[in-house]
Amino acid sequence: MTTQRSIIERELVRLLADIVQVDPATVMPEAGLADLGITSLQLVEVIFSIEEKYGISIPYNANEGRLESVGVLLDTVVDLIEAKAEQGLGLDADLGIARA
Amino acid sequence: MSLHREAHERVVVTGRGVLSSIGRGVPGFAQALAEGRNGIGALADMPRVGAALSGYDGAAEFSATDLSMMDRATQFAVIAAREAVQESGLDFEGEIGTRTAVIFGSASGCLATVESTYGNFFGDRTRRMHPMTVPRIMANAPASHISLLHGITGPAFMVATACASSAYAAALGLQMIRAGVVDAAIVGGAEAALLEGNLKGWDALRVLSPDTCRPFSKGRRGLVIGEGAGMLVLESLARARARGATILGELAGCAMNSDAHHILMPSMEGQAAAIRACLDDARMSEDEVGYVNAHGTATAANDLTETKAIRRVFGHGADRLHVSSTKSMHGHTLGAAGAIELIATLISLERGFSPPTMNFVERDPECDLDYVPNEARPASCKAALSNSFAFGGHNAVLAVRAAHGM
Repeated sequence: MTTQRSIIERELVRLLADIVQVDPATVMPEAGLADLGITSLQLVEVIFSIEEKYGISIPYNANEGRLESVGVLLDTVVDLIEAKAEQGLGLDADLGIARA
Repeated sequence: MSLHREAHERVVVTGRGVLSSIGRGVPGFAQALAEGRNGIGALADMPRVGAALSGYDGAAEFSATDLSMMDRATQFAVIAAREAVQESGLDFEGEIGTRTAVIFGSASGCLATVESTYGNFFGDRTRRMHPMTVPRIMANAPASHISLLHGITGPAFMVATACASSAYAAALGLQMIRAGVVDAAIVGGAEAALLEGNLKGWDALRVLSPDTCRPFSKGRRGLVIGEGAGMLVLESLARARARGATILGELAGCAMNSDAHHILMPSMEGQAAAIRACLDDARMSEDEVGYVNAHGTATAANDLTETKAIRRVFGHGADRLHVSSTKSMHGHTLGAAGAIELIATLISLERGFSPPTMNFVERDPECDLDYVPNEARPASCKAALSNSFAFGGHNAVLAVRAAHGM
């Protein structure tokens, strides 16, 4: 999972850095999205890209703004991808039992 | 500038018609506003809340021939216009028919037809489309049907400024009458956009509330889309007096402007400028205004910005204003909102109460006005404003004076 986490992190940081046009190396996990200059609407587009790429649904309401830092967003995404993978395994296991 | 306009330049409301999730027809709608009735609930077949006209049946309202020509939004517009014309007592026979405008506002026009016909074609790969697809889809259709049904031969057209559309329609009607271009105008809007595709689009924008609409309240989670229509008959005071019409209020002034700021984010400067310009146009002092029907969408951005804009214009006087968002009851009816809320504002002055902002749970320290939380309140003001601040940066503010003594 560490490797996967770092891949997702790179991807996320690149998306965020592209929006505000900064060097991805300067985007730290503890950085607040607002401090980076990312608006809630820009975040909506980042979330859309991530959802499309990984086939997950990230709960986010622009009026509530709970994903306040790069790190929180990353944790949320990684958790959802892991949960999806586990669900996938669960499904295979069920099928295995059915076949047996 | 003289303090008062001449009677031929003053524009009054002589008819109103409304369809909303909290009531159809002005008496029922007025009662619902006074009660703080909730029109928001789970939508049939869609995992979303909305403010739908549950139980509406187009087939019970129109003949099969008419219905095949009319999108749901057109049906709503026609029904509301019929009620408004009936209340006004106007007959469009003769010259008045040529001197009346129909100005219809909608954010997305006839979207139900777009979704169903295109859905059938692209999704289900049906081979042909319904022959009335084009006349049903065209955004001007509601304006045309109103003109056809009432024999109105003056200018009829559609205006699209998103959630300020029907407020723009009212403002344009006011200006055309004042300018002497027409003597009367049927103005308003309709929206019937509680559709799967459209809601998916709104959902993707991440601004919809998952439960209910709590304008200006702490814990607000966004807007709830509603459907409906509001139409009004406007005419010059001189004309209304001459024919002995019942005057329901004066549309005393209006303002339309653009933020030139952002396609979605509101601008306090733009909104405040619109409110200021409307007061000036109505020759209305800040002290005269007692009630503001707010745009109040319950998004984080709107409610904060609108609060600041009201405060900017009214200063300390803002503290004594009743400011409420009736969207908390009938949802955000998008292009119909301006007209439905103008009718709510007229009702407020006529019946002497300020409609409540429902679902208000806790004061937001950044929203510091009196939002008339959760219960209608008696009021005796003589003038009120209705705000409409739309995506695209289109702002419209309408000023109303009570009919008493006119």
